[in-house]
Formats: sequence, structure tokens, C-alpha cells
Amino acid sequence: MAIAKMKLVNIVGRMKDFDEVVRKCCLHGDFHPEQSSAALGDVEEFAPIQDFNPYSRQLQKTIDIAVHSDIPLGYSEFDSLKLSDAELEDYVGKIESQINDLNGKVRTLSQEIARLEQGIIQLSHIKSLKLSLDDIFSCKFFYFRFGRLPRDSYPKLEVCDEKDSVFFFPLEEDKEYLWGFYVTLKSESEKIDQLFTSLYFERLKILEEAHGTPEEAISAIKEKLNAKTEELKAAKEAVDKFWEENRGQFLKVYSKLKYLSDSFDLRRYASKCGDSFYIFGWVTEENAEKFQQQFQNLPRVDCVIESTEEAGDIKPPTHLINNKLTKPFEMMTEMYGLPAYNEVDPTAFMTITYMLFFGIMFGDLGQGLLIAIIGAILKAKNLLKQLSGIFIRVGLSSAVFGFLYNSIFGYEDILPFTILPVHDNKNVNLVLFSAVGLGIFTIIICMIINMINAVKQKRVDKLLFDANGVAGFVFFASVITAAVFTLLFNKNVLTLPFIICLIILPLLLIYLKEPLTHLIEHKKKIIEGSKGEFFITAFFELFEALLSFLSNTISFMRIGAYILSHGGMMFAIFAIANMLHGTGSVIFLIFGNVFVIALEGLIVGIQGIRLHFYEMFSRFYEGSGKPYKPAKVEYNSSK
Amino acid sequence: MSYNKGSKALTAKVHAMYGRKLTRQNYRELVRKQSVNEVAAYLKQQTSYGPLLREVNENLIHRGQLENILKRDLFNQYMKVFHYVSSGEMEFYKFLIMRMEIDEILFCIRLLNANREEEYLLSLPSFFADHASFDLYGLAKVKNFDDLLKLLKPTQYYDILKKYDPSAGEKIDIIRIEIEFNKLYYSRIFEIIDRTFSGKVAEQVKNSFGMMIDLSNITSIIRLKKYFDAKRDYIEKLLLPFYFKVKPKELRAIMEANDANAAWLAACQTYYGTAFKKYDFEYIEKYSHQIMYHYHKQLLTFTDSAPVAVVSFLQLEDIEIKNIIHIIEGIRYGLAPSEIEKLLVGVED
Repeated sequence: MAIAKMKLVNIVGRMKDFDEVVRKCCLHGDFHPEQSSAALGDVEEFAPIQDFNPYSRQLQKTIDIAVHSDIPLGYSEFDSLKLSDAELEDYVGKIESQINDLNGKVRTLSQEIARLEQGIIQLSHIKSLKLSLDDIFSCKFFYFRFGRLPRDSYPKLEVCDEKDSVFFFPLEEDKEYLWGFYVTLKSESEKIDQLFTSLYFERLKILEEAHGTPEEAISAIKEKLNAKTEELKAAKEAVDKFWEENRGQFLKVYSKLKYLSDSFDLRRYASKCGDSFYIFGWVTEENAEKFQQQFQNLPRVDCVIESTEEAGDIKPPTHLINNKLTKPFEMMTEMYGLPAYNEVDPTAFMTITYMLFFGIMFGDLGQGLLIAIIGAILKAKNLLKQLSGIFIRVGLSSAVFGFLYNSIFGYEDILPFTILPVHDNKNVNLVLFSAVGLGIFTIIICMIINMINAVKQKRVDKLLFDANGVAGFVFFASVITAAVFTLLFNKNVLTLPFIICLIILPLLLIYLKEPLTHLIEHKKKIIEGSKGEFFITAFFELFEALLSFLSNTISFMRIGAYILSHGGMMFAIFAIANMLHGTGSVIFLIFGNVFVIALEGLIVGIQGIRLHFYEMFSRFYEGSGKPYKPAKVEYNSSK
Repeated sequence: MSYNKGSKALTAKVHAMYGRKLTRQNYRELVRKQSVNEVAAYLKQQTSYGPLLREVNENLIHRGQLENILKRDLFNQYMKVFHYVSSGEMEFYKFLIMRMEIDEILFCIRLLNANREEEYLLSLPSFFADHASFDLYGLAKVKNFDDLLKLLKPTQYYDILKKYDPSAGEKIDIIRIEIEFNKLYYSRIFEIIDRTFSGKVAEQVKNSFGMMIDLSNITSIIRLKKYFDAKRDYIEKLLLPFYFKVKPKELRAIMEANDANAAWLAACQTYYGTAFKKYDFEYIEKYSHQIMYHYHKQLLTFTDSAPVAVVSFLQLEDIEIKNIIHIIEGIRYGLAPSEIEKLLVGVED
């Protein structure tokens, strides 16, 4: 049984115990809450509890602080934390202001350092100037401007009208620009600034701190920069120290707030009536007793455990329990849909059939092992968690069939014996028919599972009159038997009683499914709606069922076809490799194998899924379950 | 035939250089920029102009500076061509230098006429100074026509300029000078082509210049008709006396048309008719550029002749730079992107 058994939990109590109850519900992470209003339905006295979560603001603050300070959030045991709600708030406020101060210092220093660094870069362009900047800027009559002039503009200075009233001194050159300064009389400065602007001169702002020659200024600023860098280091250390001292307590406070806030959110599932509250949900059968015991010390709280039948229309959630072998295939069943609570979990069945189909279609000892090894490596590196598990399983299956087919990286003569000579041209028809045979067998199993589901769901119609129930089963088995006898043993079993009892009668039952069901259920109206409409719809449904028997069965022939195509592709690769010589041939063989693994592995993988979803699941699997989501506190998320 | 390995290499080189053109997507995004700085930043980050603008601070750049950089880039590309040219063909490839000299002299004259001669210095292409046959910085010092004559005395332009020396106080007749210069330019080129190339190559190279002449003549006629209602006698003097795909008889028919619209219809009867018919008569100037663009693009794509490829490439590069300048001006004057797009050549289809 791969679906966990559930128990219904009803909790009723006084409002004063309510907070305690919701927190306990969250504690072990196995309580799946349901909207209590759904169960109460038309009981008007009960109203949903809608309170403003008083913890969310403080919680958000702690999360913001942690994210900003790069503190990984996680659970920290907080039983020892004896802080009231108000004290929690005070604590968060205090931490916030302290860390903001410390971070503010870091930010100011970083900006200052960036400014100084930029200043040094600019000064380094005029480093070759051996004059004191102070002298230059304190000139009474002369006017100086530092900056860079595009190379194209430089020769123009020689011919401009103002050439006698300005000098430009290049100090450094690069591909596009000359770095330097121009000097003119203060009285001319306006005109000259204009000229330089039109020559695309870009001014360089000299730092206030720059004194002496640029060289001296650079070393002085560098000293200042070093001091600031030290300060920054100290400021960062202060932050680190702060967290060293406060991290433990901070995480405790966070955990507590998160716990309080998340359990508070559980309130929206509850309802209240006067001074009483009501909350209900599901726990797994194995945890039910433990869950109930939690409330024993609350005398005014009743926690009642009941069976799933008591829940009426509310369906229990599905919690899949699969063993290590089948676990990775949950991904594929969930892709189709989660099984309903009272439905067989097809994962185990799919594990067997999927591995079988893949192995049959892609049988190669070497390539199979390679896929398994790739899967193992991915798993070890924790990549593609579920897919890597599937790789290992289908790879091993492929290896087993490769052994049976005597196929190792396409070589078919390494093992001295061949148990299943599927790639032999003589066996083409046999391979294809066997594939159809496998399909028939699989479809019959699917119908049996469907009948088991019908019994579990207590649905007579599904069990007896469905195309995948007893009627369909009898019809399909009879037709197959007749065909086998005729084709293999050349014996006609189609006698009149056989035809009437085993073929026509089942079809008639399927055709009349709806009225027969109504008859059994003692409904007043045997046919709902107009009769004509019913007969036409039922006819098409029957026709479609018959068609799907045929198409689904033939569809399995693809398993045989892929055995052949795998052989064919490897044959082609060997043929090309033989045309090449020496290393070329070896390289092509390696390339060919990689190509076949990648391309065919993908196609066969997809075909396997296709066979399951279309040919098999459609016969028995509804996948209408809802997932089991127990209420618990996610300490590691930052939401 | 002057085909040699160098010629093949040059054709390949030109094709490679052409591969770095701006795409339609580039233009579409460029016209939607809000400022010259954004245009510069886009060119720097998204196009092949990146390395060229690497040192430039896109937050400070001016339109003139950007334009100057682009023109210098075109000139530098053109200079690369010379690595592949044999000494025998070198003379031909210097055609762009003559073109640029003429353009600079004409620009200087325009500024003289407008009494703004001091502005010449700011737009002077410094990169060209070493290659010009006269002192380019000298042009910046020209204050009047006599200065200009004195400066250009040793050059081939002197004889033409001397004829148009204006009497005191009058404007310089720039239209006539421009035509005379163009006549000189094309006759020199054809002369060099005849001397340097032969057979099919000579014919192809002549044709690619010839097309420019044809289109320029047709455009001039229609413009003169449209704005001045000019008569044949007047127009004739303003045309370039060279005929290629448009026969003298056809050109006469256009000149003798009653109005601009009739002239347009006559132009549609010529070799270029199919191309003209695609466009609207309103914007003849733009469409002649458009036609030129497509012809040159086609020539560049299919030719295996190096001189043809170089001529077409330079024309297309010139169009690209003009497009960028149109975009910058459009943005500066706040035109809508769709309006700017209308000004661009070779972008719409």
C-alpha cells in the first residue's frame, strides 16, 4: 500500500486555549488543516476567525535584517527564550537600529574610499607635473584648468585666434586624449573656457585634499585612503563582531517569531462560535495517537480522531509512501496527477513496467551501464535528484536486456551465447508480435487494477459495466483468446454461444452501463435526459472503447519497433565506422555510441512515458488526489 | 586586366569591413534614444563602434565630437585600403582625398559667405591634415577670398577659384564653384580610371561614379524645376556634362518638362525609372540617396572588382554616418522616432 492511511482530526475547545492549540498543531509538521467552514457548512453560529497577524511585521523586519546582513536563516531552539511579545518587539527594534548604525558607517566609508580612489586615478594622469597644485591654484593672475583634450583638437590650438593667450600642457597621452592643463590669464578665463569647451575639453575635478605636486598629493591621498581602508576594515569587523555576539539570540528570536507568525496563520482554517473554536484536518494514521496526546494537558480541549468516512464529501489528502526502488518514479505519476485517497498508487506498477519497457527497447549492456553510471554520478553530485534515480534504474534494466540480447556498445559477438536473438532478421515478426503480446498482458493488468479501484471506491458500475471493468475484461480476454486459438493453433473457437455470451453480452452491458447502474442504485429515472440522445452517446462511447482496445494494443508494437531501430542505428554506425580507418573509426564509434545514447535514450524514455500515460493510465487512473500538505513552520525560507 | 592577388584580398577586406554595418534593429533602437549621450552609449555598447568609442565618456560627448570620431573612423578605414593597393593603382584610390579637399574648401567658402569663418577651426578634421595637398590649418586662418587664393595657389583648385573672385562686397558664387570643382573631380577620376584600369573593370568603376553623376543631375533638374521653375538654358549650365545610363536626349526631355511633376515622369522613363517609380515624387533628394544606396549595396555584394567594391563601400559608409548624424539631430530637435526614421537612408525595407 503506497498511500498513507489518514485519520480525521476534530479539535474543539475554548478560545483561551486556542493559541496553544494552533501552535501544537504546527509543532510536529503532520497536521493537514482543512478549511473548517467547509465542514461546518450551514452551521451559522460558527464564523471564521480573521485576526490581523501581530507577528508578521516584526518577522519581516528580522528577515530584512538577515537578508541584508547575509545571515542564513534557520531554526534555532527557542524554548529557553523567555521574552514576551513586547520584549520581542523591543529586541528586534534594538537590533535594527544597532545594525543600521554599523552598516551606515561601512557605507559612508566605502563611498569615501571610492571618491579617493577616483581622485587618485585622475591625479595619476597629471603625475608628471612637478609643480605644486597649491601654488597653481593660488596664482593671482593666472587661471588653470586640468582635464583631457581630444587628440583631434590639439593641433587646432596652434591656429586658433586665442593661441597667444592660452597654453595647453599635455602631461599624458592615450589613444584618444591628451591629459594635461591649460593656463591663461584670469581676465581671459571666460573666453578660453568657451574655446576649450568647443574643442571638447573635459574638465577634471581635483580633490580638495590634493596639496603639493600631483605626485605628493597622490601619496598623501593614498595615506588617507589607507587610513580609511583600515577604518572600513574595522567597521566591517565591528559588524562581524556584532553578529558574532548577537547571532545566536537573533536566530532564536527569528525562530520564535516565525513559529508564532506561521502558527497564527493557521487561525484562518479555524472557526469560532461564542467562546469556542473548532478546527479540523488530517493526520497520518501512524501519527494520530501521538498527535492526540499533545492535547491531554488541556482539559477544556477535545481532540477527536475519526475514520475518513466521517468526513463526508471532504476527501482526505494523498500522502505517497514509496520504497527506495520506486521513489524516483513518483515524479512521473505526479506529472499525470496525484492518486486520489481511495485509488491505487500506480507508482510501484509503473516502476516495474517502465523499467521493463525501457530495458526491452534500449537493450545494451555497455550503454545501459553507462546511463546507470551517469545517473549515479548525478545522484552523488545531488543534481537532477529524481531523474538521476530513474537513470540508474533504467540503465540497469537496459544492461540486463543487453546481456540477454548479447549487445555491448552495439557489438553483438562479444558474449559466446545469445539468449534472446532479437536483432536477428529472422525474428522481426516474432519481436513485433511479442511486443503486442506484452501490450495485451499490460492492458489486462491495468483493467484488473481498475477493478480493484472500483471495489475500493465502492462503485458497482465501474466494477461491472465499465469498458475497463468486468464486462470489458471478459470481452477483451475472449477476443484475444479467439484470435490466439485461430492464429496459433488454427482452431476456431467462435461458436455461437461463445460469441453471444463472451462478446455480445459484455458489449451490451457496456452499452447499457448508465441505465443498469441506475437500476442497481434503485434510482427512479433509469435514463436521464432524452432516450435518443442517450442511445447515440452510448453508441459513440462504446465505439470509442472498442477503438481504444485496438489502438492501445497495437500501440505496444512500438516496443518491438524500437528494439529493431536500436539495432538498425548501431548497424549504421558500424557501417560508417568500417569505412573509416584507425583512430577515425574508433572516434566515430565513440561518437556514434554517445549519439545513440543521447538520441535514442531520449526517444525511448519519452515513448515509455507515452505508453504509460495514454495506453495504461487512461484505463484505471484518475489522478484526482490532492497533496498532503501538513502545516509546519518553514524556518529556512525567507518569505 | 589588372587583376592580381592584392585586388582579390582588397575585395575580401572591404566585404569584411562592410559586415560591421549597423543593422535595421540597431537603427530602430537608436532612433528611440532620448539624448546624444544615450546614442553614444548605445553605439559604444551594442555596435561595432564600441572599440572606437571606448575611451569616450558618453556622458560628456557632444554631437560635433561624435561626428568627428565617426568621420575619422571612416577615413582610417579608407587608409587601411592602401595596404592592399599596388603602386600602379594608388593614384586612383586617392579619389576620396580629392573629394574631401573639395568639400573642405567649399565649407570654408560657405562660412566666408556667412561671415562665420572663425568657426571653421572647430570642425576641421585634424586627422585629414597630414593627407591634404595643402595646409588644412591654413584654411582655418582664411579671413577672406584673397587669403584663400593665396593658400591654394599651388593646387589644382586655384584656376577655378581665380575665375570666381568676387568684386568687393559681393558674395562668392559658391554654386558655380561647386559645379566647376565637381567637373574637375570627375574628369580627373575618369582620366585616372582610363589610365589605370582597362576592360570590364574600367567600365564598372566608371559606371559606379557615373551613376552618382546621373542621379545628381536628375535630382538637380527636378529641384530647380520645383523651387525655381527654372528653364532648360539655366539648368543646363548647372549640370555635370557627363552621360552614362541617362542619354543626353533623355536628360533634355527632363529639362524641357513643363513642371517638376512632368520632369519626374520624364525621369521615370530613364534607366533609373523602375527605381524612381517605387518612391513618391515629393522627396526626390532622399530617394536619389535611397537609389544610390541600393545600387551601391548591390554592387558591393556582387562585384569581384576591388575598385568598385571600395567606391561602393565608401559611399555606404558615408550614408551610415549621415544616418547617425540625422538621428542625433533628430533627437536634439525632439523629432518623433518615426519622423527620424523617415530621414534615414537604406533602413526602411
